[in-house]
Amino acid sequence: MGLRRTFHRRVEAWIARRLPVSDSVTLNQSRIFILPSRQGMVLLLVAFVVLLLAINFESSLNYALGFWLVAMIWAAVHFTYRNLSGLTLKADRASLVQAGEAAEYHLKLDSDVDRYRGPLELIHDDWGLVTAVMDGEETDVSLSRETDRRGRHPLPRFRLESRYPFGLVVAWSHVELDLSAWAYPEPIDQDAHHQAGSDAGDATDDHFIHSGSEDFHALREYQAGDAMHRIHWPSFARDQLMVKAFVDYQAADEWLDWANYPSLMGEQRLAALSWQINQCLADDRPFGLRLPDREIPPGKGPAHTEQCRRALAEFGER
Amino acid sequence: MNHYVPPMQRALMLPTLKVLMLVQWVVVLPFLRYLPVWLGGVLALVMVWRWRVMHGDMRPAPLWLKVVSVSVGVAGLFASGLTSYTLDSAVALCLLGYLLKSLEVLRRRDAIFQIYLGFFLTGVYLLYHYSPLGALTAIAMLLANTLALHAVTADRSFEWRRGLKYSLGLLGSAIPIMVIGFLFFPRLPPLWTIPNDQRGAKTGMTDELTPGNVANLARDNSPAFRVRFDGERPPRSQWYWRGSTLGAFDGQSWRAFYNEQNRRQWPRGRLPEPTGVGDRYDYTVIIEASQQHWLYFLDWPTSVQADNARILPDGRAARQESLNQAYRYRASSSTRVDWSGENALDWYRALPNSGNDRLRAWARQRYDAVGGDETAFVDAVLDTIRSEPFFYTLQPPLYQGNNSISDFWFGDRRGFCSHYASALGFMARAVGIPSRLVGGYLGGVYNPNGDFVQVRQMEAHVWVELWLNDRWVRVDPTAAVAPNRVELNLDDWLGEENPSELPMGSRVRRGLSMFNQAGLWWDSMQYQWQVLVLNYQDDSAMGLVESHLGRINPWQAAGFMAAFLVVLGVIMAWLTGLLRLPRRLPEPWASLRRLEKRLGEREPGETVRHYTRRKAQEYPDQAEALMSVTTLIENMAYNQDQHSKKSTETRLRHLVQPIKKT
Repeated sequence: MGLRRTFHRRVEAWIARRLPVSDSVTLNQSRIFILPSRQGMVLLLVAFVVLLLAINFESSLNYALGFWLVAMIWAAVHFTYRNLSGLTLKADRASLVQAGEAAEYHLKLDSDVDRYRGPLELIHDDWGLVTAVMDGEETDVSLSRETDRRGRHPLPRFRLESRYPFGLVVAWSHVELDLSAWAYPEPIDQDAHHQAGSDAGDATDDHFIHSGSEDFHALREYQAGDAMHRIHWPSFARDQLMVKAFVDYQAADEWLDWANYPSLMGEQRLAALSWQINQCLADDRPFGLRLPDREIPPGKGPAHTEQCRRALAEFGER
Repeated sequence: MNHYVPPMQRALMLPTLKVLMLVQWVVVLPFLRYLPVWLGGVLALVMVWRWRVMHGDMRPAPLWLKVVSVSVGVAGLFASGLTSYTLDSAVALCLLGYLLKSLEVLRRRDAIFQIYLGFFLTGVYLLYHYSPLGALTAIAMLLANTLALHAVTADRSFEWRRGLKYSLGLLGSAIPIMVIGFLFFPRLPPLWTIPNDQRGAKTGMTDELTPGNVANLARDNSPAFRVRFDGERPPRSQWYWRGSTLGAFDGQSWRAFYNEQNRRQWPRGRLPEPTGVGDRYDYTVIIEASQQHWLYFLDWPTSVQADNARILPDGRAARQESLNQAYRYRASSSTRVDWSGENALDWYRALPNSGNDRLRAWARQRYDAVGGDETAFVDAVLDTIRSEPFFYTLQPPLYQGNNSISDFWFGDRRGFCSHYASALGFMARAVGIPSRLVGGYLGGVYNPNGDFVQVRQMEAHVWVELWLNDRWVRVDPTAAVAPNRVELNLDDWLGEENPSELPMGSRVRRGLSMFNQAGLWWDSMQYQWQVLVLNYQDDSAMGLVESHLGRINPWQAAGFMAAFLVVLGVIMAWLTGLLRLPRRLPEPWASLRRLEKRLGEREPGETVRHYTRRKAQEYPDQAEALMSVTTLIENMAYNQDQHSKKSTETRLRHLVQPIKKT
């Protein structure tokens, strides 16, 4: 058992050395492995039986048939090899998900020649089998994989396999791409009494912080480029070209702060912050995030949310 | 979460199932006429089941259905008389399995099993059919199964056009290795034998003569063997091809002393061969698979060169194994031979004690009438045939029982060669002249395209040999009743005398000379096929190679093989687009490149004009040439003037030619 494990580790190490990680991999003869499949070996057996027919019944044409079957396996090596040869796999993007959900990895398959490559199989224990049919020069593949914890989830080394067009030989390569998905902590509602140092009186004070589109605030002089519908027509009647200025309101001190949860352990604090983000999103309130090594100023919108969640996911991992 | 299903476990898709069903038909159809009718029922059952599976009922057949169908199938095999351990019953069993297997073709593994069995059955088909047409059928079967293999692998992305393209590509690119394997693989002797006596029916003359069987052969115009003479052909009237010698008479039928049943007791060792004293002919014979042992010779054989063949004392040669493939041998014959070795004459005088008594008495009476002169007696008998109303016909009445010969001679007097030969042989024995019947063929068609004589089954003939004046003399009583038969082939003779007895095929063919021409061409092609393919011996290719390169040891052979595979691999890689040959640079870039090689590289970003100007300063005496080259190159690069392209390119090459470092 120990010997076998050592052997396995050796093989893994050898593959890792031979196939280093990068964000794009082009398959060539140093990366593609090719062997007759079991199905091909059985065909060899059939060819042998046909040769036995030839010998035993002095049947000349069966010699031809027997060797034809053998030669088919030989020829199939070329057909199958070319499915993988010259294929480039590029890391495209990976998703940011809540821990426990499935992360998506997007790859681009690229080729310098326009060649039908048949169904290519991307195999890994985590997603089973994903088949990509490559007919032309480019195609997208997405792999999905469960995340079990917060943090970084690199795309594992997977097996890319092709048996097309006859299944007699199997060509494969082990592909490892530099592509990671991130999982932000699963939100957990921590009891309010854990919070300390939060100033309740201040919380509801609203004041505008920057110009926006939500509430009318004042009139200002027209500037080239202002939208037509914002022109203040009553002023125009007085020969003044004024426009209505709007602002967005934001809770002044809606900081989601690492320091707010002194009684919690690290991961739990992150989970609490994650919950807070969800609360803010539910109430449509702007928020900022303050972590020991990072500070994201208050804001709102999908990009901002993603930035904050990503900060939670990356915390301590970079 | 979807789990990885190994390819062999995956369920088959609808398009694949359709292809598999079609391919099953393609494999079974060529066998159809050999199969018992009830196997058609199995086929129907299988089709119904397939139909259900294809329309969504993806369940394996229930156990009871499998058990019932297998036992019904095997019982049917027994009922059809395929009980013994022979090739035929093995094939029938195999086909039954092939059909029943599709009751449970649901997963890829089952489909692969079906396809591989199909490959095997293609090989089995080739045991029965080895003509060019048979080979074409086998190729069709091979292609169909390859296509199915592709359909199974391609799964849901299967397309007919692409599938056909890939399958043809695979088979085509496998041909070179197949040919090499075929040419150089040693032809080994059989490892064990499966009785295969029923593989096809026995054809040709058998070693037992009952009057009906020659008449049956007369309706068969398939070839029996083909002969190519080394030098001149003997005259047409001498084309008596002897096969079996029938020396034992039991009152009804004639048998050979050495036959299939007593094969173990055949004489062993090198037997004395008759010495030829007359004109000698050397020839090569390719005999069709007859499932028998007899080789055929022109009268009379003096020597034979064949594997495992022996000359038997009764003037014929036989092979140890039965002929289940077309077989080629060389032989020599002489018009006269010295029979001094003959010492078993008493065997040839033996008659049963009773039967055909009236004929016996008649023969004795004739013999006494000519005063005991054997030759005169034979002449008298032949004269009787000539003068009395005897008829030669392929549809004689049936003569049965112990007095059959007598009934023929005194009764209807209608018969064909075997009746007349049998009567003469009997009468000779009745008066004490040693006699035997010879079964073989008379005549043949000379094919000028291929320079060979083709002898067909319908040329089957029986004649008599009598021991007269210390040697065997051929006497053909048929010549007495139908003198033209000796000079004409049976169908030509019948065409003149009695067209209604002609087999249908030859009646049509005789009407159209175009058919005759095409027929000759086809025969000649089959002859070439037999010489080149069926009878191929592995030493021919080796001999050809060694005659050019000298003796080859195994290491060299392996080296050649490896080199051949490498070359083939490179060609294959190029054909499949794995390897791309470097393209030739188009002009004017090719000429510029040549210039750079001679004068030095261009610097990065340097234009052609800058470059030539720099070089003109370095090599002032080339300046003029360089300037005109520059103008031309610029013209070609920026003026896409197509119509004078060729001449401009030539001019450029001429200009660049003399420029060099000075």
